[in-house]
Amino acid sequence: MLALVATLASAEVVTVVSAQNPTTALSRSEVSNIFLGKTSRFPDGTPAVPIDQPEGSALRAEFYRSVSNQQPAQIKAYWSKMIFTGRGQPPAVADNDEQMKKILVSRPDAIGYIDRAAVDQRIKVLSVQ
Amino acid sequence: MAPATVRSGQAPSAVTRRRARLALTAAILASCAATASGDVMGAPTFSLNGFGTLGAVRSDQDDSDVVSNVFLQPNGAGHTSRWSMGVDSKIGGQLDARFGPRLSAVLQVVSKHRYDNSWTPEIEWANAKYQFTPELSARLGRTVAPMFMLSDTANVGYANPWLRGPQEIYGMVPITHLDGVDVAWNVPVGPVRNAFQANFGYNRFKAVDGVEITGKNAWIVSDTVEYADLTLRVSYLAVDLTFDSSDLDSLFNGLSGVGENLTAAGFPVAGSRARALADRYRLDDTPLEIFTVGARFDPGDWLFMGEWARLTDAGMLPKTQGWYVTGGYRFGKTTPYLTVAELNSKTPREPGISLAGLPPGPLPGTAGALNSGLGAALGAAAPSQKSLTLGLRWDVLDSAALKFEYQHIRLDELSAGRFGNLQSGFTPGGNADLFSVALDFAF
Repeated sequence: MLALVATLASAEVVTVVSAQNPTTALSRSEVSNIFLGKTSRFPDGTPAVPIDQPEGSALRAEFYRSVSNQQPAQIKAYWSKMIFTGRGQPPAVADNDEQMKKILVSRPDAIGYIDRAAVDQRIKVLSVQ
Repeated sequence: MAPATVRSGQAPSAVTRRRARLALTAAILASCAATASGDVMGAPTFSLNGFGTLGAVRSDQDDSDVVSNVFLQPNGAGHTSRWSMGVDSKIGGQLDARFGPRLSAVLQVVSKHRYDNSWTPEIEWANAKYQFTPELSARLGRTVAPMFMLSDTANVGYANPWLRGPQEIYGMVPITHLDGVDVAWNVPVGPVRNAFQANFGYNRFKAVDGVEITGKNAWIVSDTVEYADLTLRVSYLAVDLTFDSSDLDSLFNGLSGVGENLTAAGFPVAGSRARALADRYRLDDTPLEIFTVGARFDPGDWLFMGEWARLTDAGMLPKTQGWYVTGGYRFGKTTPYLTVAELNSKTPREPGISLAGLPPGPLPGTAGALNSGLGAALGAAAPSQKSLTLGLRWDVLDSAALKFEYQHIRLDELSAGRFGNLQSGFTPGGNADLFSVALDFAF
């Protein structure tokens, strides 16, 4: 229990791709555009498939706050607008850090976010400015 | 990926179940994502989403009603009842289907208090979309008519900052969707996103007071430019508009008829004037144009939005110009906002048929009655008002927002503003105070 609390207290969200993906750095607006469905490609033109963490999770809230400066309710309203105008659907959702890593490993075009503590050698942390 | 095996004689352990679930999810995800990127023709996938609003409005007006749209809602709050839940409440569902990487379809059905006083669900959209390239797509069928910045989500309260879109702008056109074709083309220029959209179509629908409204050859062209926190939008609508109803027919046929009678009775000037009035004010495939400009700036926790629109005159609908500006700031889960708006219509001071010199008898009586009828129709069609709205949006849950609005409206002298269900005691002009509360949700 104490270990869990310690993990939560030190959770730092990082944007990640598979180690196979050539991308090393993205700007905040590039990451934001991918996750908000405004673009479906990395800057080099290859397809980008965003993967979210579950709605209501602290990592997800922290991720959107840092890349797009928006709160969960604003993101939800944004996706309502996109869904109900037929302009897109929100990203697929991974249950947790482990499943996120599995997905990234099986799909080099996927991009996601996890707790820095969960990063391993199969996953590459992107530098996001 | 092979499914997790079950050791004979034993129930699958939690770990094996979890592995199976992970494997299945990953497989589905891989196939969906692959479909999205064009590798594989997958089986059709469906998703169902819904939205709704539960709202109540209080109006202090005794001889008119607050309605969500003066063409489309027959009654509301005010004269009919001090408080009304029918004005803003609605529920809608949307089914999205994806048939491979390029083809998708959508069906959206909404139930709200409509022209015939019922809540019969109506199809807002039903269209198929084909994505030619990531930048170019086309849709065929019933699509939303994107007049103003938030017209697309006019029904989805949850997606909008306000409780109700400023009626000075959002009440201008009764046409909410078009049956036809539309094309969307994204042309990014560096960090600037540029989305161009063109709709062409037709719509015929029933409105209040037994009026049937037809829009033919409707063109809507718009361009939206986005850069960082700034969005600018320009749009243009051209449509051939027809208003048909037995009341309007009696009025205009009456005017043509009395025109003939006057000419036959030896008053050709009055006669041709009467016929000219019928031709001038009747809406029969009459061209109407609307030009709008909008801007939105939302850096950090601030929200600023404004739109301006101009309608050309068409038949009895006068030349109209309207605008609003909204400012809001997000404090945690609440966003208070303020909207200032104005609507100006050039009500024509129409003298009608000149009664001077007409002989006593049925002719001046009929002509006089028609003059009053015409005056009333022109007055009802010319809403001019100014309003100030104070509102609060509270994102009480992740999928539900509670909103409050207080609105003070000043009607111009001759105007009924955006009020409907005008009673015989109604006098144009004056002030009104409205209070609204609504729960907007999406699921």
